[in-house]
Amino acid sequence: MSMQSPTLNKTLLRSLVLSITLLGCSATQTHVSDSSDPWSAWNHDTQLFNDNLDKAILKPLAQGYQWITPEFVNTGVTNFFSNINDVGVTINDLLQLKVSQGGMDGSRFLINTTAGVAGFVDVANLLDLPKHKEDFGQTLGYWGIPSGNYLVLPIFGPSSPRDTVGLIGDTLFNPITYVSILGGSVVNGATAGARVLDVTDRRANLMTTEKIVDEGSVDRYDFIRDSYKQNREYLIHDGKSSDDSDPDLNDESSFGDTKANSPTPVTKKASGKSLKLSEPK
Amino acid sequence: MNVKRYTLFSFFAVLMILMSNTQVMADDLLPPQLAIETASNKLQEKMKDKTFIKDFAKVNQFVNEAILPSTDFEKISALVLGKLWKTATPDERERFKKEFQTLLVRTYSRAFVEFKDWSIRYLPIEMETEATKVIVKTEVLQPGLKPVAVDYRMLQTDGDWKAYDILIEGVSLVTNYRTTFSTEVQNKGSLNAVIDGLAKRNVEALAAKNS
Repeated sequence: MSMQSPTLNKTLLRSLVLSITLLGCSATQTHVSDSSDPWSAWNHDTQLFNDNLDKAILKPLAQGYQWITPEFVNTGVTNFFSNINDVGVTINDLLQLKVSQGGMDGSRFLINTTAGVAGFVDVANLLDLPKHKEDFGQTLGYWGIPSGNYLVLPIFGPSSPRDTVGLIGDTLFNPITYVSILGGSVVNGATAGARVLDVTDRRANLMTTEKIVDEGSVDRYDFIRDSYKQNREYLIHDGKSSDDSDPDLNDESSFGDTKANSPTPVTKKASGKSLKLSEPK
Repeated sequence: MNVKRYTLFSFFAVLMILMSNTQVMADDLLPPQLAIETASNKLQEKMKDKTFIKDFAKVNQFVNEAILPSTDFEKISALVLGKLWKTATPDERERFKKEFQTLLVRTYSRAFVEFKDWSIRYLPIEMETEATKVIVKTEVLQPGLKPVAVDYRMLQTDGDWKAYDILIEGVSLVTNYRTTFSTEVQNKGSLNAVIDGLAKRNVEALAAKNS
């Protein structure tokens, strides 16, 4: 069973990190627990741990990567991993009974792997096959499994019990996992390198978001938590925002006018801009 | 090999033609969409000036003036405070509105300074003719990056369309800030203390900082 050892090692490492942070957490119970976020104390500490890890390792790595990498290489790398991710996206499409979207995403993978030179160029996007965001956490949500409490995972960041299970599912749907299980030591080194590159590339793409969050948040923890929760709901419902999310309708400030709720039922469709083509370059 | 190259080339040629077509079809936007477009055109024009965007305080001033006609800060402030708005004194309301507006403009300015070569695509909307409320869906496009979904909840008052919430990838700013401020008030004891804290942060963020 020697070929399974790298994955085992990884799991071991993760649980080790988890228990260390758990230990550190029990000592500092500074934050008042709130009914909507009962694990707030653990989460604050883990976020601090992640932020420090980010500051010490990930961010400098990503900055260096951004500095030495030309823009088109950066885009190519992002596309390459996004293409591998499309395998999981397709599986999750089918698990959510989105058959036509599954067909589209399957085609995306095939087109980008071939015409897109192993995924480095996102040709499919130009062919009206845009990227979809699906993962196993969303699939569980689609089938009505509640997210559970907000949970910040060491290294992985914002999550919930449901999305943690989702993360495990997605690891199983990721071809790189099998390459690293079945391959020899050379292949293992390569996939480990690929993972580091993937994480670095993703971190580099988050630089802008980070600056905006720092500018806009009153309380960084709250801001990230609420954004995460809202974004997950949005993804599960595929961007269809329900009317009850309108803050004006469940407003407690009694600001007034709800007259907008009784419109005459004449519907006019606006063409807007054509949906047919995306990303004019 | 040559055949492949030609196919690829003609493929891109066709794409270019198709793309120039969409630009022509772009212009029949509805009034709420136009409100957004007017503001973002102003910003887009100004952001080309690379020396201008170095001065963050100036950018803020400009962004504020550009988005003011199409943003309902009064309503946003009321929605963000929710229950607290009802019990707030007129003075507290005024002060909160001012500081919160500064925070929003600051955040918006940061986004515009950070985003490179962005452009906006307006998704088709369905709208009842008499409607006074609508969600304008857009995508912010940047070369080499995935499009970012930005939706505006808009309300028509006295003939003008004004935004009262912005949703970025489904994250509503009003909902986010509402939770934040209700916790803040609990932690700090009073709305006044929260406003003071906000004012202090605003001053720090805008003082002598280059973007």
